[in-house]
Amino acid sequence: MDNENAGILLPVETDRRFDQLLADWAVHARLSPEKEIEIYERIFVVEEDLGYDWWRQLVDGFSFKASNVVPKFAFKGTLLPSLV
Amino acid sequence: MKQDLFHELYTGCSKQVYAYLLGRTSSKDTAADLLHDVFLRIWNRMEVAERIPAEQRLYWIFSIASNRVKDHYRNSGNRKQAEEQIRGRHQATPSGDLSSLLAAREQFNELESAIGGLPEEFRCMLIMKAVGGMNSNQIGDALGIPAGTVRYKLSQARGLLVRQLGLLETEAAAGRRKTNG
Repeated sequence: MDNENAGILLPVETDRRFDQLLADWAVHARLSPEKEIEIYERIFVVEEDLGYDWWRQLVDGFSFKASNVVPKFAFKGTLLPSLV
Repeated sequence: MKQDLFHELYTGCSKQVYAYLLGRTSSKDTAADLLHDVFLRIWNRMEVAERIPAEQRLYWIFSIASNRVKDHYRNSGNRKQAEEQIRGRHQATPSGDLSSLLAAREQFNELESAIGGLPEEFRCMLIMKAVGGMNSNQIGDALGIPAGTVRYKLSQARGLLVRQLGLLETEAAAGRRKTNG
């Protein structure tokens, strides 16, 4: 038991078993080094695209409700009565 | 310069931020996706990062992570619903059987279920410590709360898990066996 767990009044053996169990679980829960690298590299792929802010502004600027891309008749009989 | 600082922030904090996101969402995949989003935002705000004193950067990064989790909850339905999903996914199955407690695999699964069933704040701090390798001072700095409060909540989380896993009963039974034998 380290100082971090100083407030706990558990039997020493219980404490030890719990720490061991938690440490085993933590290994399984951690992000793999490969995944960490993949996430890191993906950031630069996205950045080299048009840039996060550009895409963000584009998506924020969309108003799907006002869009006439899909004709109204396409929604007839669906669960989107406001569009019909 | 910009890339060097970003690399330093990523290598220094990604494990800790991932642990926080895992604690908030209880899903490895969601936490990994959010980790990517968080660092993408950091990359796009590197001019801000450069101006922030080094000792305050951890709090800044966790503020971004916290906001990203809020967006995630907003986009994936309401937060209560998400919490219920997490609890449902990790619904503990009480064994009531001593032999099953001895099976390491089952105990491992029980621990995962029990962690998933903890109140979000406890779960988050516990995972930041266990998975992120953070101490109570670092967790306190990241979340903007006193380290003593973190220690108190961590100890409560441990107590809840130990009781839920029946570790105290197991120890007591082992002690009795030793005395009788």
